[in-house]
Amino acid sequence: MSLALEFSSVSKSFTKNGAQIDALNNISFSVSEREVFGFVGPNGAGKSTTIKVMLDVISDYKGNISIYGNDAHDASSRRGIAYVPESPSIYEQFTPLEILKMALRMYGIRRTDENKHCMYWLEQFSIAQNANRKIRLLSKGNVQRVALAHAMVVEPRLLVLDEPLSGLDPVGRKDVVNILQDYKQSGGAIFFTSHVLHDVERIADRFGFINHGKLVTTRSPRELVTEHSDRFIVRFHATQQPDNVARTLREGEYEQDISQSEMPAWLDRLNQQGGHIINIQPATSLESVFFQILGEQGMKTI
Amino acid sequence: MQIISDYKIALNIAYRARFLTIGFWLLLVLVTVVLIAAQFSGRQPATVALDIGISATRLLLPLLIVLLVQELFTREFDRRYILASMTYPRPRHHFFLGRLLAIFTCTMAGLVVMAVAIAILVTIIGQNYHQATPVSLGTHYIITLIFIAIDLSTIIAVSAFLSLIATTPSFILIGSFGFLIVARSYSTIIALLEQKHALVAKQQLYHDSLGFLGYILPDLGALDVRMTALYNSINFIPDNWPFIAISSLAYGLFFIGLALAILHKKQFN
Repeated sequence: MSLALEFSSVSKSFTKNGAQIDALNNISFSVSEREVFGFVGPNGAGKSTTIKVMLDVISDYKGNISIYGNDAHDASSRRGIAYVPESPSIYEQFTPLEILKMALRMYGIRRTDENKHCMYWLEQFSIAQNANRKIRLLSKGNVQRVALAHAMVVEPRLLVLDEPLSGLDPVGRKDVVNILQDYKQSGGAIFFTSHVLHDVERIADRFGFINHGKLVTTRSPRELVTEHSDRFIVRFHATQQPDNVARTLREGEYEQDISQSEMPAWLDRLNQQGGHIINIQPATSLESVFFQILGEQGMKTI
Repeated sequence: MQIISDYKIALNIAYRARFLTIGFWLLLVLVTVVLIAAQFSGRQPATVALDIGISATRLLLPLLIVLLVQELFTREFDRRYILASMTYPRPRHHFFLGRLLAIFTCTMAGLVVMAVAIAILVTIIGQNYHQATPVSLGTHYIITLIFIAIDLSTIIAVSAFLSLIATTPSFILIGSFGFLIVARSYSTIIALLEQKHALVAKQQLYHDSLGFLGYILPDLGALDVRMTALYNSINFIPDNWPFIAISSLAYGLFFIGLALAILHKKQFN
C-alpha cells in the first residue's frame, strides 16, 4: 500500500523569550492510503505544529515531509489534501454554499453540477437549510459543519483535521464520525488530532502519542491497550450461572473480569459447562493507558 | 490561470465589505467639494472646480486604497482566514497578487468614475461662464489621469507591503499617508527652498535633508501634471516625465517584490 503522508526526521524549534523550544523533535511516521491516523497529546505537545508543517504554513522546519510522494514545500502537493482547523475561520460575509463553491475554485475543480455537488455536501452535514444564510448568523457548531463540508466538497485523498469533533453536539459528532467512516470506506486517508480519546478509539486505525514535541509511540488502539493491560472483560452465554460472576447482564448472559494468566483455564471451564463467548475486550481504556504513558514521561496532567 | 480565482474572490470580498457603498460616499464627498469650490471663483469656476476635483481625487483614492488593503490583507491575518488561504494548493504569491490586482482594479475603477464625475461637473459649471483660458477635458485631462494612476499604483504597492509587516491596522493608514505626503511634497519643498533662500533659517540643512529623500523615495509630486489640463497646454509636463513615471513604477515593483519575498518567508506559527 502506498503512503499518503510521510514525515522523516522532522524537527521545528521556536525561540520564545530567548529560550529555544523544540515544538517537534525528530518526528518520523507515515500514514498509508485508506488509513485513519489519530494524533494524540496534551496541549502544547506539538499536534497543531505537525499539521502546520505538513501544510507548509510553517515552512522553515528540518527534515522531509512528503504527501503522496511529493515534497510538502511544493504547493501542488496539497492538491489532494483538505484541512479543517480546530477553530475554523471562514469568511463570515459569505454563505455556506458560496464557501463550498469558493473551495472548488481554489482547488481548480470545475464541475457542471457545481451547485448540486455543493448542496449534497451541505445535506451530508445537515446544514442544507442554512445554505444561503450568512456564516456570521450560524452557530459555532454549524460553522464547524461548514468547515467540514468545505473540506469534503473537494473530494480529497487525504483529510487533515485538527480536533474535528470539538464544538459539535452529540448528534453532530455521530454524523461526522459516520461521514468520516464512509469517507474511509471510499478509499480516503485521514490524519486527525484529538483530545477526546474515545473519538480516537472509534475512528483511528492507528495513532501516535506526541509529548513535548517527541513522538512517544505509534500503534493501533487495540495493540496499545493490549500491551498495557493483562486483564480482559469477557461477555459470555452460559446455561447456568457460574461461580463468582462479576455481573449478570440479562438472563443467561454474563460478564467477567479475567486476567491473561487465568484465561486458558477459565475458557476450558466455560466450554465444559456448555457456555460460549460473546466478546472479549481489554479491561483498560485508551484513556487510562494515555495517562500511564504520560506518567512514565513525567507528565502529570493533560 | 489560477490567480484569476484569487482575484475574483478578492473582488467578491471587497463587494461584500460594502466597498460600493464606500465608493458612493467618497464620490458624494468629491461632488460636494467640487461644487462648493466652483462657487469661490467668479472668473474661472471651471478651472477651480477641475483643480479641486483632482486634488480631492488624489486624497480620496489613497483612502480607498488603505481601506481595501486593510480589508483584503490585514483582516485576513487578524481573523486568521489566512491559515485556510495558505493551505489551498496554490503558491503563496497567487494569494498576494490576486488581491493586489483586485485593489488595483477597484482603485482604477474609482479613478475612472471620479474622473467622469469631475468632467461632467466641470462641463456643467463651465457652461455658465466663458473663460479666457478654458480647461481641457480631452487628451490633456487623460494624460493627467494616467499620471495619477501611476501615482496611485505606487501607493498600492507600498500600502500592500506595509500590510505584511504591520502589527496594527492603523500602521497601514499612518504609513501609507506618511509615505504619500512626503513622496508627493518633498520635491516641491526643495524647489521652494531653492527659490526662496530666506524662507527658513537653516535653508541648506533643510535642502540637503530633503534632497536625501530623493534617493529613497519616488518623486510622486512630479506626477501631478494637472496644469496640463487646467491650462490646456502640454508644456506643463516635465521633460524628464519618462524617468519620473518609470522610476515610480519601478519603486512600486520593488515593494511588490519585497512583499512577495516576505510573504514567502513568513511563518504562521
